[in-house]
Amino acid sequence: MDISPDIIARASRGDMEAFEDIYRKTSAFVYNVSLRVTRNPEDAEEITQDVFMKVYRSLRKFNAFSSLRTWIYRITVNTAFNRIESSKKHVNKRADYDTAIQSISTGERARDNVAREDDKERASEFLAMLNTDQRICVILREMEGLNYKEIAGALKINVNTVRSRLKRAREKLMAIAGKR
Amino acid sequence: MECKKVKELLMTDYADGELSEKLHREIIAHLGACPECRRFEIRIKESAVNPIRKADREYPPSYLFGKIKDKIYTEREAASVSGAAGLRSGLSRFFSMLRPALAVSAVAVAVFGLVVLMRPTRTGNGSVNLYLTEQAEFIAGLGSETTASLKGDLGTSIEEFLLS
Repeated sequence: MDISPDIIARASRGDMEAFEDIYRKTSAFVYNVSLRVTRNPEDAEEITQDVFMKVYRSLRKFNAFSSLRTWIYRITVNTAFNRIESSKKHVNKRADYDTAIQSISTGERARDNVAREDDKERASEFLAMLNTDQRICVILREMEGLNYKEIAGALKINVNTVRSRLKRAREKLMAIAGKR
Repeated sequence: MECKKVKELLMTDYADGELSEKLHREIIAHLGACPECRRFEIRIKESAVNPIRKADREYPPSYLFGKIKDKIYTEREAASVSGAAGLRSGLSRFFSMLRPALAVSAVAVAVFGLVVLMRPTRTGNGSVNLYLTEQAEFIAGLGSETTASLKGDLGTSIEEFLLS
């Protein structure tokens, strides 16, 4: 996913081919993270559009000394996180009850599907059992292969917090697997 | 190293390849000697790491870049239209700022014009002076011989009737 400074400079001058090059190299990350965080393809599409509109508008201001990749990680995570937060605000007073019921049924469903071999489905169900902070860390680590420093940079948290969130997430997943 | 510490590292830095070479060697040595930690390592991989790590990455639908491109072109168009409108409003602002100055200038020009137009010319002034001098001389001469001679000879019969 190396993006040369020349491509960034051309894209910032309005060169659509250069911008498409940046899109091709980064859109899978943006879309996959958005989809895994929100668990909704429509939201993931909208977040991907929002992120690339932000990238397009900000390329001129982009500081060439910082990594475009890290910057895209950060705005993707922020945009996805904001989407989740704003959708939480729109739920009614039954939200807590509904969320509790949903989390119980999701857990039960995961346990009922022991025999399921589909990795994709299993991954989605496992991720659904984690809270948003843990889920984002796990997605960035397991699916996107970011190291602790890169995750810390994308989330603006320290490396020990990354380590701690991953540990809690794995403990939770192991506990669920142990009950199956 | 204690099993508790090893298990913690197995769940984090070891699983994620973040250990230093030295520490990594220590863990490998521990796992070789501790069946419980070895079982723990397998459990972590099977239940908490591999199910997510093995999942396929999702890719955006092929039409998505077209939508983004359309949005960018629409935004560019709007920016160029608002740029032209901005130039127009800038010029309009500039002229509206000049309006009081222009009004003052126009009044000054009008006043100057009036002054120039109403100012009697040197020739005109001379003829008026001549007329006034003649009239003054005429009035001064009333009752003199010249005017007395006129009294006796008033001209036509109508003049005689009206002036006598």
